[in-house]
Amino acid sequence: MGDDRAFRLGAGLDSVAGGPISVAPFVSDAYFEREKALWRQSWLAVGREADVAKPNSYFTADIDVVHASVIVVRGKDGVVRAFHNVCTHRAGRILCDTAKKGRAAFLTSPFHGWVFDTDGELRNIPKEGIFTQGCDKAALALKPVHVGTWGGFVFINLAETPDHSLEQHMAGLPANLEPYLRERPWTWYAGYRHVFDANWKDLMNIQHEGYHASVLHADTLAVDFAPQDCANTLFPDSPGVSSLLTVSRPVPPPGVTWAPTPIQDVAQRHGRTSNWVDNDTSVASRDYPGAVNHEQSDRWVFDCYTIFPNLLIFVGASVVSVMRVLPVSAHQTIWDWDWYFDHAPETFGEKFNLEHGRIATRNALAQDWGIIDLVHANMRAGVVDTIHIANEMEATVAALYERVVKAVPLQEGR
Amino acid sequence: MAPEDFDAIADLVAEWGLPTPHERFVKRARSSMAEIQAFHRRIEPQVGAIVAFLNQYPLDRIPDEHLPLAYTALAAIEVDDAVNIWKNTSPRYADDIAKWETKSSFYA
Repeated sequence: MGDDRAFRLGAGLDSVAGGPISVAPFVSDAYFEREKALWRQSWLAVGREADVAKPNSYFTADIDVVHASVIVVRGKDGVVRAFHNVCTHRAGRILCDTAKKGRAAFLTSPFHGWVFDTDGELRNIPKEGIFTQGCDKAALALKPVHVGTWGGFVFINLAETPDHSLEQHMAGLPANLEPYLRERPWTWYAGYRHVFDANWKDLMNIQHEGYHASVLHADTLAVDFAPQDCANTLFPDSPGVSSLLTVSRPVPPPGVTWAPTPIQDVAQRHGRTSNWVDNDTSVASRDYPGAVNHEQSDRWVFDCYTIFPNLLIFVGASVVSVMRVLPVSAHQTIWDWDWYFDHAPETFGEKFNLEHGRIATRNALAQDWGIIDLVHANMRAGVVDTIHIANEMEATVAALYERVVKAVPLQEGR
Repeated sequence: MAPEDFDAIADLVAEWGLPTPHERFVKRARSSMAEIQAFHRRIEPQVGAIVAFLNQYPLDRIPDEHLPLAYTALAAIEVDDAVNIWKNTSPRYADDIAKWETKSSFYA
C-alpha cells in the first residue's frame, strides 16, 4: 500500500483522550512534508552548555530533515551564540569535522578560506582584491540562529522569529529541576546512535509510556508495573512540556521478596544507578527541593519529561539519560541516546555500578528497538487506520499526538 | 587480596577480559548458553573480590596488568541476566546492539 492513502480520521483534537487516533501522522508521506515545518520552528536541544564553557569553544548540530547545520559557539566576549554553518561567500560548510565539537579562535571555511570571528563577524577574505566590485564585510557576517539554555542544555530554534521563548517553552516544570540539571556535575558517560525504520513519533511513544514495560520487558525489567508505577502527568498549558512519566519500583506480590543476584549486589554496594536500588535522593531533596521524586517515595526510580517535539529527559537521582530523535523521512529516524552520571567514577566499584546501570537500560532499549521497525511496517500496511490509546499509562502518547496535530493539522485524513 | 588469588580464573580472564563494552557485548551475544553458564558459574563468586582488589587503586591508575581482570568483572555484568533472568543469550525480541553506533560524545 502507498503511504498517501486517505486515512479514516481518529478522534479530533478536542476529544483525543480515550479515542482512537489516526496513524496518518505516523505513515503519511504527505503529512511528513507538512510536518517539516515543525523542525524549522521548534526549540531543539542540540548540546550541553558545559561543552562550550570556554571562549571559542563550539559544537555543531545537523537538522538534516530541513538541510540545516548550526554552529553553537561561545564568543571571546563570553556570549553563547548560534549561527548557520554556512559561509556567506558560496555556502561552504564551515565546520565539518566529524567530532562535531572543538575550540577555534576563528571559524574558517575550508572551501575558499573566508574567516569569521566567533561572534560571527567576517574578519578576512583571502585575495580580497579579486572582488573588484568590493565586499561589504559588515553585511556578510554569519547568519544567526536563535539560541537559549535551560537546565544546562543548549536549544536552538531555526525560525526567523520563534513564536515563544525557550523560557516559555519549559513552563510548568518544577522550579528546581532547571538548576538541578544545570548545576550538578553531570558527566557524559556513554551513548548510542542508530537510524531506525520507523517514524520519529513511534520512537518517542515507546519510550514515554509504561504500559508495555510489564510485557515487552518481562525478561529485562522483570516486574509487573501497576498504573501507579508508571504515572502520567500532562502539561496542557505549557507550550513545550508535553508530559511527565514517573516510574516507580512495583510493590512485590504477596509472599515475593526481590533479592539481588550476587553481581547486582556488588553493583548496588558501589552506587545508585542500578534500576531497582532504593533511591537516595538526599542531594536533590536537600539542595533542589521538589526537583525529583515529587512524592518522596522510596520506590521512585526516575521522572521522564517529554519536551516537544523530540526530547526525552530521564531524570534520576544520580543519572540523567537523554533521548533525541530527528526524522530522515516519515519512515526513518535518527535516534540518539546519551547517559550522564553525576560524577566521573573514581574507583572500579563505581565504574562497575555505572556499567551495571548502563547495561540494564541498554538491554531494555534493545527490546524496544527490536520491535519498533515492525510496528511501523504494520502501520504502513494499511490494515489499521487508527490506534487505541489508554487514558492511563499511555496518556503521554495522546498528549504528544495532540501537540503534533495541533501544530500540523490533519487534512482530509492525510 | 593479592593478584595470585585470581590465578584460578586466568583462563576466564584470557577469554572474557575484553577491553571495550562493545567487545564484551558481542562476546556475550555470540557465545552459546553453555559457554555463558560456564563463565558465570566461576566468575560470580569472584566478582566481589575482584572489585575489592581493584578498589585499592584510583580508577585511572589501575596497573595495566590488572586491566583484563577489570574487564572480566565487567563482562560478568553482561552475562548475569542471561543466566538468571533471560535463560537465553539475549533478551527476547532484542535488536542487535552490535549495529548501533557507539558514540564518543553527545555530538558524535
